[in-house]
Amino acid sequence: MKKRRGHIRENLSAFSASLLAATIATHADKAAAQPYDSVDDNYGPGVAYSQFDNALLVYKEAGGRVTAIEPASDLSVHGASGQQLSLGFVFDSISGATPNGAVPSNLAQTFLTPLKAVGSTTTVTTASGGSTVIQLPPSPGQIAAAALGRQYIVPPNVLPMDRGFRDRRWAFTFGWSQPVGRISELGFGGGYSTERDYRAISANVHAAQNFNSDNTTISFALNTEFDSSFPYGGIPTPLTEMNAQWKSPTSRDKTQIGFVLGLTEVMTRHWLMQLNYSFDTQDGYQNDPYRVISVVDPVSGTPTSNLYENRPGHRLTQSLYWDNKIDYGPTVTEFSLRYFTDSWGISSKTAELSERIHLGRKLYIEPNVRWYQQSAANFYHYFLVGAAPLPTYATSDTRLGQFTGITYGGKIGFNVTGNTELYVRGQYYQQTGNGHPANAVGQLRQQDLFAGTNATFGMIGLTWDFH
Amino acid sequence: MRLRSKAGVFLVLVTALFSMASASAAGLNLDAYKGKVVYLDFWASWCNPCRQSFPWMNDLQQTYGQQGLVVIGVNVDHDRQPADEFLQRYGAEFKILYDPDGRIASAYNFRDMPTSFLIGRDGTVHYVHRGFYPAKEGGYLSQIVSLLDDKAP
Amino acid sequence: MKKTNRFAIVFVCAAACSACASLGPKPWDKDLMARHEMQVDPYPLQTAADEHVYFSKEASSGGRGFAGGGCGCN
Repeated sequence: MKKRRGHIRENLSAFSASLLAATIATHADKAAAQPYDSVDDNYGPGVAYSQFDNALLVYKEAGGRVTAIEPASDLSVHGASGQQLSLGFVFDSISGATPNGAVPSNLAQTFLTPLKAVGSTTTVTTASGGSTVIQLPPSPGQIAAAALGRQYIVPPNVLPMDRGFRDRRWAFTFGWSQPVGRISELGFGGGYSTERDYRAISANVHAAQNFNSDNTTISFALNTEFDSSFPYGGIPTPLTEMNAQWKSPTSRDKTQIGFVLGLTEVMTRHWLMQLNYSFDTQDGYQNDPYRVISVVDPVSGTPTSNLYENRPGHRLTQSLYWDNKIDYGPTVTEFSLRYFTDSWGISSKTAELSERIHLGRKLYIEPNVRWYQQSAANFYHYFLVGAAPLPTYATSDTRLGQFTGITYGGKIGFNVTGNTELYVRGQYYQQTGNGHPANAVGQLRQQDLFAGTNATFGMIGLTWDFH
Repeated sequence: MRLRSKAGVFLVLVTALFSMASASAAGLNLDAYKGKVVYLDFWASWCNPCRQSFPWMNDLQQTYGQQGLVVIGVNVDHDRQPADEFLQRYGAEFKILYDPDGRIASAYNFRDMPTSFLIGRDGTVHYVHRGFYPAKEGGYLSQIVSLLDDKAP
Repeated sequence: MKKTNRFAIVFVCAAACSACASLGPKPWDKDLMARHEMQVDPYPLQTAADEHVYFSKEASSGGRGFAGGGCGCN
């Protein structure tokens, strides 16, 4: 509260008494008014309240590929003076088939991988089938007596996929932020994510400052993450032949550090804009330990071997993100653009558009569309040719390849009470790319070498505000 | 709009053109309240802290009205309907002014929502409350009481 | 990315910041900014789910912000 003696003197107004009389209304008798109730829906900035969000994501790729179920919860407790405590929890259950990186062939292909655990006699897959436990001949210099391995056979003219993919992941996040002195917001947070063959620990600090009657906000966040990969079968030596032996070392790490610099601006009464610049460096193990790349005969194009992939140990990424929300009449439009570039030679453009249409006071529908296009990493290859010398880095993972991804979807939301909302959202995501590169040789010319995904995912969520 | 004189017409035009430029171009005639203590509160239906300030302001008006306190709530909603719904829910036992075009708000030119101006019996602003905090109600009240204790000049 | 490109981006951001210093509605005109759907991230679980899906299928990630907007109340 401020004291301003004598600095403002309220003078005679040019408004007439009659105008004043017309605009003043006395509400002395408010018999119809309900008494103030602290359980009422007075949530939002400036008052203390809590928000509990729960959602379930269901994800399914076409062609028998990955399916996932992911329940998530988030609790935010807001104090009366702008303090905020957040706690989050996610559980992920993934299963299904995933391309192993090899090209399709006009002949059946056999793939050998280690069994889940040293000495295990069980197969990785059960009803989804495709793998069998096989006896391996002993070989000198093995780390462990892996006399058993897992083998699966892929029929001709089919994109090779490993069907033994099954994983569960738990992740926790927490965050605290509050105003400190003249600084609008200072905070820190952390997270921990664990699954059978991967673990990530993250931490962040951030600061934000409001200017210009809270119309302008500058924010800065510094984040770091330490990841450990401990794939079953151990870490394979890159660009060596795929095999069922247990390998050494058993794990490798990766460290990431980066920052986000943000500008949020209320442009007009209707338009909120954000501009963010992100910078990240990652150092360490970034390979997919289960993924291979085919080496093919230079004439027939038939795969002759499969080599474990290799990616550089250093990656620098930058992105610029521009987002706009415009509330005009009965609709709210959100439009964003993102440009991304990295030291692996990948650059991408993302454009998203969503339109929320209010139907009455409680219901809305919100169709959305997303367009995404990325260029391939400079070490991306559909396959390697047997005659050529091996490159230092090589991957055939579509995730690092060139493709366009289009998403169509929509959301329906219903305001149960006050700020409590139930929503359902569905999305259809389709990746398209070139399945017939110019350098395809022999039988590869008859194959579709694009291994991108078509996925449908949906979400149901409930946001509940309370004191 | 009925005006008193040609000079008044000119002043209105000037005020309309430059209403945001100067704090002295007031959009509200508080002459009627000279000699009283005025608690001028700018509120809106979308302002959550206002939901907490209303019961307190109702108490204020009821308790100190006889000693010369006048609470005036100036609503800045663009549309009347959400303002009326707010009033229906929370109830106001004090005077409400509607300022949908923001002219009165511009003249007082504040930076927070809600903002309250505590005007003494001499007609000048003595205190400005930026935002509303239930924890500060005691402090707000002691300022009001001190102004009520000052007799009119 | 070339050094000049990097500086250009930072410069654009700085210029945008200074241009933004006096933009925006008056505090009493922030009604629409108070709405839930106009907040910077009104559905954090939805954002997280989308980012997770796209992160696992694409090479790019992140970029979103976390602060600002709102009605500026209190």
